[in-house]
Amino acid sequence: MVCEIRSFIGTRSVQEDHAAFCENEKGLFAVVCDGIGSRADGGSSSRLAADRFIELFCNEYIKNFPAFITDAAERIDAEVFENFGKNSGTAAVAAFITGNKLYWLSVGDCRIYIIRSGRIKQITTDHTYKYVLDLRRKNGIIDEHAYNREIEKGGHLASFIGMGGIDIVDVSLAPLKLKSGDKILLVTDGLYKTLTEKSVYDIISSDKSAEIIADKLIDAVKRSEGSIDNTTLALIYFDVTEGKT
Amino acid sequence: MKLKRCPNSHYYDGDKYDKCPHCNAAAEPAPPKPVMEPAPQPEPKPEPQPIPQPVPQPAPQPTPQPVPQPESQPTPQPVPQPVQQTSQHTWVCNCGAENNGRFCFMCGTPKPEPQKSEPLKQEDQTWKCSKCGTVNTGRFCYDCGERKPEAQIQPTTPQAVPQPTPQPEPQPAPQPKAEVKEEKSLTESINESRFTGTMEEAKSRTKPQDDDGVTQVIFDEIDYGLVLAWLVVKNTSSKGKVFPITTAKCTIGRADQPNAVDIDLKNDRAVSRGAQAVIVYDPLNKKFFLTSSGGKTYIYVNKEMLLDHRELKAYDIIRAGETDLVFVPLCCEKFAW
Repeated sequence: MVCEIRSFIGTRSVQEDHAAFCENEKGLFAVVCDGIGSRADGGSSSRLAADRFIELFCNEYIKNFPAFITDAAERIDAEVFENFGKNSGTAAVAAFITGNKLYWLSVGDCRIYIIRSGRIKQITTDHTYKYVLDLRRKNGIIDEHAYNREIEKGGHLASFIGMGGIDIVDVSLAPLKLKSGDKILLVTDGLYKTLTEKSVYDIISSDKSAEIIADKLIDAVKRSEGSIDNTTLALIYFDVTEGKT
Repeated sequence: MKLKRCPNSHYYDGDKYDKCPHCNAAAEPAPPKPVMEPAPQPEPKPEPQPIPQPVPQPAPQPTPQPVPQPESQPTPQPVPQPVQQTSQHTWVCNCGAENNGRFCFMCGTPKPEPQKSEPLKQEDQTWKCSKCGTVNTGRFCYDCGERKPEAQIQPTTPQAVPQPTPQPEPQPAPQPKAEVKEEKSLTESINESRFTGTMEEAKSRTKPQDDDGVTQVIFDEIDYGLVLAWLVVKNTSSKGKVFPITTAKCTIGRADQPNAVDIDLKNDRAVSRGAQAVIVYDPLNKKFFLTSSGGKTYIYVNKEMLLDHRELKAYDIIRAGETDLVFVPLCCEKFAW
């Protein structure tokens, strides 16, 4: 298994994304965090979150990953909240591969994609205000009129780490069985707001090593015009021969 | 309910239907029939033709999706076909009744299974080997081993149908078989694993199912609304009234505007306003205690005054004001939530 991490500051003045990964006898664990720009200490929050996820992963005995990762998210949420107060926070995604099993967690609007046999598929949901509005409309809490009035704020984050009590979370209850050749991509919103799914897929599907593909993806972001948000990605190539060892 | 009988001897509810629904069902193609019905039906799929042969099919059914589209869930695809077959055709039981279901509604005899006789029918067909001229029944020539020409299977089958169920349709059934075999699509497997929702729910869903031997704090885990014990009024005009205790800390007294109480002895004017005592449930040891809240009203347990607290046993009598309450626990060593 290979994991490649790249990041790009974009057109912003500070880089508030942080990513890390760790491979040990438990498996491979990668985390990508996107500090919230409009809040103070976005960068520090995302760094603390990424570091703490890795630290907990390495130090804790993990019997049940979904339970571990939700618990870890809750603890880190409290730590970020304690350290940086309510004016800071970070979105985060984490992926864990052990054997041929993929587990994940997402809080906020970072994404995990899986690329398999000609298709790219988003595994996580974006926890934006739009998600909340969609849910409310679906359950008949708000009508179409209220929905349309509110939807312009749809991009706002509805859940993140450091809010002092995570609201919405994406977590794998059961592992997703991976196949040899599967690629897993963890990204911050800078990437998917700059590149379309198709262009991401076109780059990834070219038969190159993870290192080259990761470079190409970040280059594609750099080449695009207009304002670019902080962009960070972690690309994992899953290979069954190594996955089984 | 008005039991009616139609000319075809079907019984039906005359209040609900103008016409016999069974005859209607037989006449119409019955589109959204329950999916449970074809349960015994899938069997004919594998049997009539051991080798799926997509080429010579006259394709009376819509052709199945091409294989490289695992997105469109493959499972629902084969289902509609058997449904049409079952609901379109009625069968006649030995007793003479016409039926749609799996059992005769008159005598209860199960529907004769067409699939059992079908393979036989196929074996009855003979074919002549093009190489050596031997007449065979199997899939290969027993003399020279030559394979049975595929085209010969198709045309002969419809002719050789001496079935009581006169339907040549079951033939195309092998088509979906290839699709059923297909693996779960990526989308399906992702949907099986993923969860999006509140942190609270995520925590309860990811909690280990099996007991890992760690003692947990169970105080918070008693769901609100589950009954833990009851208090039954023994005297006064409310005699026989039952108060369920559904919280681990349950207050007794007389409700007041700012002070709500769980057990409101509103008819007993001898009870002061507000909480006078609290019944506390200890979920770890599965015991109940009564503690005084320091109100004006005297609380007695079995005619002993309660000044601080004491454990409550089954059928203890709590006296508050003029009301006697019998304590009946549900949670105990034998049972707990």
